[in-house]
Amino acid sequence: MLQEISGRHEFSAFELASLASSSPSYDYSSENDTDSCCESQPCPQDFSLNFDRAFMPAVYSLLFVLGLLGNGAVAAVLLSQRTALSSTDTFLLHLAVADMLLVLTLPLWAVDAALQWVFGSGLCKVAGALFNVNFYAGALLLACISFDRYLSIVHAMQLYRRGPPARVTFTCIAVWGLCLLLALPDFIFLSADRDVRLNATHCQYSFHQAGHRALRLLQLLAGFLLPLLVMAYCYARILSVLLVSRGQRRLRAMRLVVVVVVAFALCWTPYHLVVLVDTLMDLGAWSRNCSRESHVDIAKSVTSGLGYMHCCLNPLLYAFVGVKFRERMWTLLLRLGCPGRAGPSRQPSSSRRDSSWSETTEASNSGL
Amino acid sequence: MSMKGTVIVLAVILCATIAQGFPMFKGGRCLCIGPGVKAVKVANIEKISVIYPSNNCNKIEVIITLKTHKGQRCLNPKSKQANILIKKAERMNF
Repeated sequence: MLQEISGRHEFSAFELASLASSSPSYDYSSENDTDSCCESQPCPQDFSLNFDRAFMPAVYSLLFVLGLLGNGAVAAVLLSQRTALSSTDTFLLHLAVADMLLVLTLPLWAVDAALQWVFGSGLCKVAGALFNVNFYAGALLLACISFDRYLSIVHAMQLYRRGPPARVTFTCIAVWGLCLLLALPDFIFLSADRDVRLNATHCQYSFHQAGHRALRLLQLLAGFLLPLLVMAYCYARILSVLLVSRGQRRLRAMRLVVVVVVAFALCWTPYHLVVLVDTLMDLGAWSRNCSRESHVDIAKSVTSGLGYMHCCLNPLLYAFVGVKFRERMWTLLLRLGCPGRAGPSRQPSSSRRDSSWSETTEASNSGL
Repeated sequence: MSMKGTVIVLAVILCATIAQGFPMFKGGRCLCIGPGVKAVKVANIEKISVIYPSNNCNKIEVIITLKTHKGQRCLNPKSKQANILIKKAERMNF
């Protein structure tokens, strides 16, 4: 019998009767129901599941609306620009698109958390891959932005702005290509499977291959570690340069740099700490019990929501902190609201070719 | 360079932990914690469920519902009684 049995087998009353009569040889002398209480009772996951059922749909819908509005505003302002986009602006546009595509899948996960996965395996693969593609794209584009700023501030070298715009386009194509490649395993291994323990269908990985750990490690290195190290290095160098120089603009630029890194850390650290606790419990370093498990599950839901919130924060951080973005936003709104008066209200600054928002770039233009 | 250090530490935590993927792609946990009871009186049994390993729980679990609302027990899958039940379930599935 080499074939693997899956699922769940329930014995009927009739089978139980035959079991009782046909197997009188059990040794029950050591058995006692009452003293083996709590330790051996199965863990009901009702508490955390009920929490998810209420919490996740609420958070996901909120993030869906906020993410679409915020990133939509960023994309609209960028696309309404008359002049060609600078390199940072191009990355910001791609970042906004990635974040929008990610939050577009959130309603599906909301339904999944509230009921179960009712959309079939095809949509599970597509939505799961889309989610991961855009998650990696977000991380890699943040790395690209930091590298771009690093070059312009530390080396006073404007790799992208002086070169042909094709170079930026190529970088973006490379980023998206890499993300598609990284999400390919998700597309292959995700499927809508019935979970016998939850008694519900969920969109989950059907890993059976031994190599899947190596695969995920590769994903992790290319999708997380690389962008994080690039960001850390670039922003550390930028900070060290900005700290040496003085001036109001540079202080503001520094504030933005710190805010960006802190936001990324604040959004993702709690989740990874919770997952670390879970991993420790898996490894047996921390003993498991029912209430601890359900606490970890709830903490994971809350902190992952915080993590996804990062894609709603990107437009606020990268765009709304910049003064010029707000000006352009108002211009755009005025143009949309009253088309007749739009002409004169346009800001003269919008004709500048440098990045409209990122003050680090401005700092670099003003003499660094 | 304390920020750089912080970010590297974060990255290492990330490295150690993200391998299990986002919670939305995870199913339920194992139902039984610990070894479970060795045996249960057949007369007290109302229902027996044998649950096979899945993507989210890599062990076989035998859960017994007791009569008269005494709740459920995890039967140690390595025990003699569980082995007989598992064999019986296998026979019925094929």
